[in-house]
Amino acid sequence: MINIHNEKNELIDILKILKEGRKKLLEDFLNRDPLIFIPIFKYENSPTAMNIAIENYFISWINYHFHIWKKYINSKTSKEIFLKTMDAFFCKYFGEAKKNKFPNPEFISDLIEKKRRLLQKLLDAEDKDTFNFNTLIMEYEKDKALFQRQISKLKKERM
Amino acid sequence: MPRRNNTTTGGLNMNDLMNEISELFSDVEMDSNVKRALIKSISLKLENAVSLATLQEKLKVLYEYEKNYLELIKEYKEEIKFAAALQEDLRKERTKFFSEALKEVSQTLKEAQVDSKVASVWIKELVDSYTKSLDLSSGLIEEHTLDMIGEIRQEAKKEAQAIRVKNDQHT
Repeated sequence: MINIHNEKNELIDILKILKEGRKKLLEDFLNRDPLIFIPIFKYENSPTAMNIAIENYFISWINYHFHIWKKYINSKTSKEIFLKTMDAFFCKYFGEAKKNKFPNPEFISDLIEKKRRLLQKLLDAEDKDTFNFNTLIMEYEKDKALFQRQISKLKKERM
Repeated sequence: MPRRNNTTTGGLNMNDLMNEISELFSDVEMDSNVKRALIKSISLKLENAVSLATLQEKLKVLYEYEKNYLELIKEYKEEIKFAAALQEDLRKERTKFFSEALKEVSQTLKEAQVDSKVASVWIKELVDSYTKSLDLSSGLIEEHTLDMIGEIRQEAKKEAQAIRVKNDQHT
């Protein structure tokens, strides 16, 4: 009974994080969050920029889980389960085969933040019209590939 | 002659017992037909008694096992209820999301005069992300439930072994 009882508390912690994440997702839409509503109008006629903006928002939403985890998690086991869960989340998002756990939450959060900054840079470039359309697509695809590469590399290092 | 029977009790074979009785009667002087009928009658009575005792023993073991299993389930009752309640909460949340929340989001986008094609792309992403998070939560609860079932099974196995050992010692 001891094992199950401990796991129960850890399970509740992780479920709370995921639930808070879902709550935030709905609130952002219902409260007209600028990260959603600005690009919705700004890139209405630019599907590529719109895709980048969508990815930008949902990447930042995934990262939100890394910002709130400390509020709920106290034990080492909970932290491990949290990382395992986020790993599964990434697999669902990026189709990466589930190989191993991520390192610490701060590290992966930095990685996501870096990707977000890249996406934002691409959107800024679109706004300033300094890039032409094809360059923007190329940069977008390159960014996606680089991020995927970083994730794969990280997982291989942990194997 | 008694029927062939391999029933044992207290380590004694039924056939051996009948042979012993026949041997005892071999020195008794009486009509052979009456002797046969008498041995057969003793044999039948003994066989019934022995079968009943064996059955009672088996039932006792089964009863002990079931009793312990029920006690085990009772012990895990709160855990089982907890896992079921979590899954129920998730089911309710999923239903509420599709029946109410999604409509509210759609209404918000409509009121903000968002282009319908753009709105549908964002709503699709919202549904995907929300359900992924729900599926992940559900998977975690399932994993927890499976761990719990594994633990119950293991404990039941241990209890069954203990009952068997206790019963063997008794007989």
